Amino acid sequence: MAQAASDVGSSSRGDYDASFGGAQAVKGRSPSQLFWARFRGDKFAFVGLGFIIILTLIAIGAGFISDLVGHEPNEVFVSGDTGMLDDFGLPNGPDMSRSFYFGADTAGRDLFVRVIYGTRTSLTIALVATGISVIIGVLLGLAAGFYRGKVDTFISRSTDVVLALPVLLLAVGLAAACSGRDGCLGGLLKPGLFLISLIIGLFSWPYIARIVRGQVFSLREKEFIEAARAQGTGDWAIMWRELLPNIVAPIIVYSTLIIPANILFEAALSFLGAGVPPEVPSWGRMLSEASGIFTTAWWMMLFPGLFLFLTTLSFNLLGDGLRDALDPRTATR
Amino acid sequence: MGQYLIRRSLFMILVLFLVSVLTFLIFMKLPSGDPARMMGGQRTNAEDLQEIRENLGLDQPFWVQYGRFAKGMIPWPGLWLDEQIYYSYSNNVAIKEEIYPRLPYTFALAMGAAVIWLAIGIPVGIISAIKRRSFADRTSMIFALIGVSAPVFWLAYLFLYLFWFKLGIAPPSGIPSDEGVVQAMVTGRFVMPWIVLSLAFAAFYSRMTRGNLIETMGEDYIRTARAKGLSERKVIFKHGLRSALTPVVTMFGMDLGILFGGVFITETVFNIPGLGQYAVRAIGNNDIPAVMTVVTLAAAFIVVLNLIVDVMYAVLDPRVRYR
Amino acid sequence: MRRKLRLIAIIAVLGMVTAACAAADDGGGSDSGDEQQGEVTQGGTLKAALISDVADAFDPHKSYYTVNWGFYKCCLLRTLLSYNGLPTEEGGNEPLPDLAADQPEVSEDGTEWTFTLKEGIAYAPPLEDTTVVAEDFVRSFERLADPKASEGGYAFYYSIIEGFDDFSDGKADTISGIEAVDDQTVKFTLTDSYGDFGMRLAMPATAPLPEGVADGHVRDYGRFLVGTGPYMFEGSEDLDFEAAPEDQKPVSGYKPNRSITLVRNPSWDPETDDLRPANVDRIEVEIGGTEEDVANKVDAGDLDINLDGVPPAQQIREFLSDPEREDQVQAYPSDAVRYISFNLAEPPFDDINVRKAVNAVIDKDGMRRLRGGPQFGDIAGHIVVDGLLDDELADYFPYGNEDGTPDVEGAQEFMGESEYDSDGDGVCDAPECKDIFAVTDQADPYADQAALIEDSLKEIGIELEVQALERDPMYEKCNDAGAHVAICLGPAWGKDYADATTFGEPLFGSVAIGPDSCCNYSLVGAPADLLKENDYDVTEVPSADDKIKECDTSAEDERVGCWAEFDQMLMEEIVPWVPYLFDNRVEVISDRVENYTFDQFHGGMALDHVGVSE
Repeated sequence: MAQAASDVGSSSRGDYDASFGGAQAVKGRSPSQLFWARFRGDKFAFVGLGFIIILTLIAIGAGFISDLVGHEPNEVFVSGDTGMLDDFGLPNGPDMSRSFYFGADTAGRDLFVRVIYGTRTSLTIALVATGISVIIGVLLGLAAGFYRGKVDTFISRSTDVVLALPVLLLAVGLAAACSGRDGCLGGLLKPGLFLISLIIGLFSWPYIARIVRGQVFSLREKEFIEAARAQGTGDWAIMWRELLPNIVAPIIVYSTLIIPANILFEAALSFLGAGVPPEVPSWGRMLSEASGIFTTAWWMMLFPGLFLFLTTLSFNLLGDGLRDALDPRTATR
Repeated sequence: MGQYLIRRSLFMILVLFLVSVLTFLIFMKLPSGDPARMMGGQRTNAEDLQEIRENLGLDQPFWVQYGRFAKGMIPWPGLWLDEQIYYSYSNNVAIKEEIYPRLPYTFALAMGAAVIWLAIGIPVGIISAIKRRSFADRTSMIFALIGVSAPVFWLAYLFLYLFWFKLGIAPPSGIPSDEGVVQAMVTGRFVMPWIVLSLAFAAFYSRMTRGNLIETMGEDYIRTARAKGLSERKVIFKHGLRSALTPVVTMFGMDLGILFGGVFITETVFNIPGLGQYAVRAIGNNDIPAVMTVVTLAAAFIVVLNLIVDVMYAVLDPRVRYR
Repeated sequence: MRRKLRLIAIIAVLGMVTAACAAADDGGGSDSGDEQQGEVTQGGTLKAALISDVADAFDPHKSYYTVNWGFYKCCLLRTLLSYNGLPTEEGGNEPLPDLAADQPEVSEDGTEWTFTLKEGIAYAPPLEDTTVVAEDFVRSFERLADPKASEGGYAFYYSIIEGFDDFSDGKADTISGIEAVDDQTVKFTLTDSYGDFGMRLAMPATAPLPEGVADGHVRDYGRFLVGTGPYMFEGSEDLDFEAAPEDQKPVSGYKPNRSITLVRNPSWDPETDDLRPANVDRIEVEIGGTEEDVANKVDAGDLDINLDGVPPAQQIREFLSDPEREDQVQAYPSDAVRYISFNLAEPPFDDINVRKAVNAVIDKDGMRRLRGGPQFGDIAGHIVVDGLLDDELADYFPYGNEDGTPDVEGAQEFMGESEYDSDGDGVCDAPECKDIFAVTDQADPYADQAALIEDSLKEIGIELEVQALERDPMYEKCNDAGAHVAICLGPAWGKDYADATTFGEPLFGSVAIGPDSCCNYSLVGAPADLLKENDYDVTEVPSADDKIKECDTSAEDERVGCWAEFDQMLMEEIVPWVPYLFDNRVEVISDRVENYTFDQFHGGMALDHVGVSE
């Protein structure tokens, strides 16, 4: 998770913060046109954005696509004339004439259709998991930055604790613990896409929280905040109406940068068998299904991984573009 | 300095405590079902279950149960991973016995990869920062972008397919049981795992170092140093690098959680008999005591390393000590 | 001189002809086994792999795992009677004298069995000065009767010995039905005449137990084993039974989850053992890894065989298409059946029509294909493996087609008769047919097979909710009556010994319902109060207990016929399962392995018959 968000150089170790982010946000905020101008000039970011839009369309239209091809994602083609497995049960590769563009997997299912449906899983995770971590992170970051003192200490320590956790293992453990039929917390949490999003969100909020906290620190002392306080505006009203709008830009940027990490996290969980349930097509799980057979069925390994890679890359390009538009100093282009 | 150390150590203990509580909750309390049955694995007869219940203190209050569990985390002979709790009923052997032989492999994998990614990532970041917008900068940042985007497990299979299956220049995954860690390193079984594991981190670190260095070089005190007439090289190395590297040191501590995740996956894909493979299998087998042990061990390791990082950080940047 | 030369020449020619005949047979393993032992290379190290560690702590009294049995039988533990380590057609299922000097003397009424032991059989070091005596068998059976020591095992097979259960329950301090008449004579008294008792005595749990070895080792006795077989654990001589049990160090040749190393047992005298040629000097087993890794090593010649895993389909395909390597693929019936079991008390499977419909709609050929194709066995139309029924039901396919393809029309006809199909169109429309709790194994190919099953069941309107578990937890779940698993997709059942009894009570007897007992997952014959206790709405399920009793105690020459009737009754009147495959054990061996032999008893390569060339 740190990969994306924190490689920006906003070191924030416990008690020593660089308010770099805060300073820039103030600088870049007034000319938001500047921001958009810079962003528009970044070709790579647009490529990334474009690919994401295409993926979203694919995700939405997955059902339509599978109807066009004529195969359902969980439909098996094992024996007989329609079968895609040979006499030894090994899958056949890409076969244009029979509309198996990416070949079949070991269960005889259409890999192309499954990869298409996998888009839904990854994009949903991107949205929901990131959404959860943003909500939690923003709330906690606002509180920590605004109230300082004990509240800040408590929240910062919590952040440190979460960051000290062997995240993958715990997430796998959580997912596994809740994978039984009855789920956990007395049936409150059932296995599924939402549970995984929740777990991922619960482990990635610290990054957002740190960023928001840093931003709030620098904004707090500004005159307009003092003015609002003098008027007697309540704390949360200040946070909501004055602070929040000013940090939307960095929030968007860092959220976008977290998305690829979350997508990879879900893929890793599914790869280890503790992710989404098997009926839900997931690129990570497809890769784990390929693990024993990739020397003969290379397509099972190539295509899901490629899509995973391109999706992550696109979000990284987009995030980089947004961040560079925010602060051009570190731009490569 | 001393005070700082004490404060950080106390914090470390706090974190460990919280992690252990969290682990305890997740694995023992969260799943619906009888914990004794879960821990017992295949032992399902009433007598054995009763014995397990007594060992775990399931009939005792909550904090007693936790106490027994936490006791085994204290690195003191007699307490450390005591067999009462830390026993794998599925394999009939104390967890200690299963874990010790695996540690060297995980250590070799993690440290080897760390050396590689620091040795590659930081210099690349520095060069890119110095020669901003040059061809070298652009290409290395493109590679870095690819590095952070490619999933570890996909890269691993791609590498295996290419270098082992097609080209035959790399050994297959797995380490034969008669090869010790050192021998395995010599026969090259760690090479691809090291490369795959370090790629993502090298990419990330190069991006980060570059970002930090650029940012630092724009700082006022750097401009002052330049104005004073110091050579560019001196500026970079004496002033810029130091504060640019502090965040790197920071990140190294923070990233351990992710490193462990990467190590676990790499061990699984390359079939290296380390802690990660053990943990992943244990989860699959529902061997709860084993999983809890690995999780707490990993957390302890992370926290301790964080402490070391803190100390290094304080050495690098004296301002920290007085906060 | 000339005569001698001529003799030599004749022998040489005969030798070449025999070798040529042996070589002319194609691979796939229907020949082998009758090559002269003299031709097999002596010595060398056999390098094998196990994916999973040996189970049950390798304790013979607990061990219900055929892989463990393979080790015991070939190499570590001799028993009163044992098998020759060859396939069925070469007598592999006939118990022969091993530690007994001869077949037993059985009394007229069949209840008294007396064995005379071979003299002077010594145990492996460190007990090389101790010889096997009758008392050692008494000791072994007493441990077998101790519920703690034999937990998870098959002690129930020995309840037929008088006083066994009393000892088990603590009501007596000896087993009245076992007597060490003198040092060389053991006498068993049974509660009735059980003609298959000889086979029960060929099981590893009955191996003699020397004094002082198992004391204090209720859980970990397997790491302190001392036997009489041709091999022993490396480091066996260092075992110290003088020390207190908790201070004793387990044998170094077995490192749990890492390796097993067997070396020759210096106490073993080949003159006393007709069953085991024991050609190799050393057996090294590495534990762990994946089936693919092991297969690659076998391919490269770094390993000789995978003992518990299945060779990947790619490897089989590769070898079978290469004339030089085809005989490295060996496939033999393992006397096991793979099946899907219904929970007769859980809707919609409480309706026999639904069960018949499922039987007809399952694509058995597809299931086999997903497993690797025809190499892996024959399509099963009924429950008890053909090898145990003398092929009496070999053409009996009451549902679906003989080639294993589904009969969708027939299935829909059955479904139409069901109460869960209100409009009789052959597709279930009741809510009970949705979200059905199914459990399967998460390993290959079960996950893929589950996808196929789900796809097939759509034709009759059934939708499953499949939970994939690791193998042991899966069996546990399916076995737990309280878990309400409606359909179990991943089980398999192999014979314990070569009588169809082993497919009777343990699978369909009302006493075998879990979780306290095993393995009647279908709840056949469950009494009403058990159903109530476990929150079932169904109050009655069909029972097979009467027929089981009848066949268990039938005379030797009537048994096969009775069990065949039993099978048919199950398939037509109770329909507890969908059996789909009579399993073959497929093994790929390296080119170093000579004289591959299939031990029908445990269902795998006989490590004591093979040799390795360097």
